[in-house]
Amino acid sequence: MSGSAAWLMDFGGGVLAAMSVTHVLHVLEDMSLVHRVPLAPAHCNRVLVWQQQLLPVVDLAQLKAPELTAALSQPGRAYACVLGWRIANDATEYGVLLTRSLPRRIVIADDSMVAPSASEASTWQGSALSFFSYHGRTAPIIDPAPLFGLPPPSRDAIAPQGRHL
Amino acid sequence: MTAGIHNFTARRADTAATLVVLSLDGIALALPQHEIAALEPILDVQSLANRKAKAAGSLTIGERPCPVYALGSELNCLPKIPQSYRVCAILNNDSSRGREAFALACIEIRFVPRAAVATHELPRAMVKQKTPIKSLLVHGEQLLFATNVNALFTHITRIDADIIPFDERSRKLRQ
Repeated sequence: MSGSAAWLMDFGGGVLAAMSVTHVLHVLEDMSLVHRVPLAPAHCNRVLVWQQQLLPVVDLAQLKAPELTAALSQPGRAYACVLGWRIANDATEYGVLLTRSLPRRIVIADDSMVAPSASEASTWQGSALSFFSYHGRTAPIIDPAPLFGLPPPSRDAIAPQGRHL
Repeated sequence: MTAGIHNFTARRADTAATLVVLSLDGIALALPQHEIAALEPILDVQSLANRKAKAAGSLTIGERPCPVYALGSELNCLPKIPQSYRVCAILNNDSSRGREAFALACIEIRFVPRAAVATHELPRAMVKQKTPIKSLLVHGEQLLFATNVNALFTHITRIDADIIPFDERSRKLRQ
């Protein structure tokens, strides 16, 4: 049985998703480097100062399940996961996702890929590469670029590891 | 004081050699120095009796009233000037367009050389038309929000326009 390595992330509010291991660069526990930006959209109203760059911080729970409590307003810890992905001309784009716990490394078996329900497909439209079954739940494998308002990378620029990852 | 107010110029924040940083409730705005006409102590501000007004107070500048706004952490207009706000910046509004001067109350005001800050564009996912924030500046470990008088004036005017008196809102709901 073959599979692909991925990071499983819990975004709070019951939102769970996986991402290619090549996309996750850094996980920060120190939220003092995260600054709030007034009048920004609720799902992306923070930035992280990271290595002399200013990265947008997306709260996926707020984006995908706004009726539930957003990750940072829930009691308990939040982590800032710095992501990087290739765009055209070999350049790299960066962004940050807030998670409720440290990402967990998993292997997604090829035979665990499933078709999403209409509601799941609608929720993750434009940001899911595919879906897999994880402990009885259907979770997406996400492409970071659309979450940050950017076009998805071209096929050539997608991380080389894994089939869809 | 009026004589000290300069005519508005169209110089942009990113070309100003010095920025003026206005500290508000948990955030800090950065404006080009030439957009600040004068500073006044908060003690000279008179509270406004009209609680529907977005201005928290008023200053008399050259025998003319100058509204004083107190902005909160979401750039919302506060009805009262918080006790921690101790100084007012009188801003050079665009008098060629008939705009009156206005003032912002703040906790403190600092001058920062433009060369000491790193400028970053507003991330694409954050860009909204209705924001006076033009770019993000990193100064040491502090994040500053670059703006200008025109953008602030438009923002405050828009907040005014969005406000519907309670009785009018009730009337609309009943219809």
